[in-house]
Amino acid sequence: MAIKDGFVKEVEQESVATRKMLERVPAESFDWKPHEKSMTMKTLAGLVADMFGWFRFMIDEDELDFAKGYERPDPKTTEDLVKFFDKKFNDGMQSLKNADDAVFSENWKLRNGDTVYWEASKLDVVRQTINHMVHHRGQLSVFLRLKDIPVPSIYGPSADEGQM
Amino acid sequence: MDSPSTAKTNHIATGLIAELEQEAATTRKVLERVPAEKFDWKPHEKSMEMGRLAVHVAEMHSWTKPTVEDPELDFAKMDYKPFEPKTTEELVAHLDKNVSEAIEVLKTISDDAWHNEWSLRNGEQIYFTIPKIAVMRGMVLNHIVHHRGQLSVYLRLNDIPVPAMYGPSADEGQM
Repeated sequence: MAIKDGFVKEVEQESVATRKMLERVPAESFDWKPHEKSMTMKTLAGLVADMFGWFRFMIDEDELDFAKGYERPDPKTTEDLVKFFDKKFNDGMQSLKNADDAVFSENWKLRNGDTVYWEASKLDVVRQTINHMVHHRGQLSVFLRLKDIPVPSIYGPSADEGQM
Repeated sequence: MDSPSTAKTNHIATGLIAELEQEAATTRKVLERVPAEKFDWKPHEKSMEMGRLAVHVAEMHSWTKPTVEDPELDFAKMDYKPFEPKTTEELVAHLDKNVSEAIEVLKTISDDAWHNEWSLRNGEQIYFTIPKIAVMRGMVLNHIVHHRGQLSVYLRLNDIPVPAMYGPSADEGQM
């Protein structure tokens, strides 16, 4: 089994719950946040929608340099948000599906000009990105709950759906 | 017994152990900040209480054992008693114990065995049957990260500083 095979399967599986969650983020709550120090619903949902797209530059390139600019998602509607996710997911998935085993031992850097924030193998970078997405999607599920939006079942039933 | 020439490899477990150790260090930082006086707090009537959510995060590590050692988990045969910590220290000690046990169990499984099928069932009703590696990945590891993410919002809502996790939080680890 190639290294990418496990990732492709896992990312496809995780994308189902991610998409379901993004479909429920109402545009009228985009500016809402549960605490002054929290991200807004739009920033958090945009981040969750963006992350699987990171596989493109994590696999096909050797670094991301914030000094060269990074376009953050700015959806106006729920539909925009979901479309953005679909595009990013497809982009990232394409890179993942084309990755041979050797790519995963290459080095990758996250930097801002001369400051290097993170340097790791592409294997670790992809692994951590999946976990990172799951982390923020977990946060988003609490945001939905606080806005009385039914939470989809993710790994098991939620208080609203998928009772066993 | 395997002869040396047929010795089984365990690269998958080695990767999982490294990841589990790294994630557990972050999980520990989060659980250390859950105050006992907030164990009963919840952000919404449908939410889990902070204590229960934190215990859930700690105890999911113990699902590693049935994933590795058994072909299934049957709720009908389980005698589940949730751990009820009285203090933050007890909560963190529970995490530490479960993480150590999970690591020991992971050391015993060969790469081949991860592809064996595993079922979650309740007596006659089978919820799913998938390879052990998918159970470990999804139902154990990602599931922990999911609920730990929720717990980070609980901390925030209680004005408790959130540790830096995959990147900086609003409180710590600024770039």
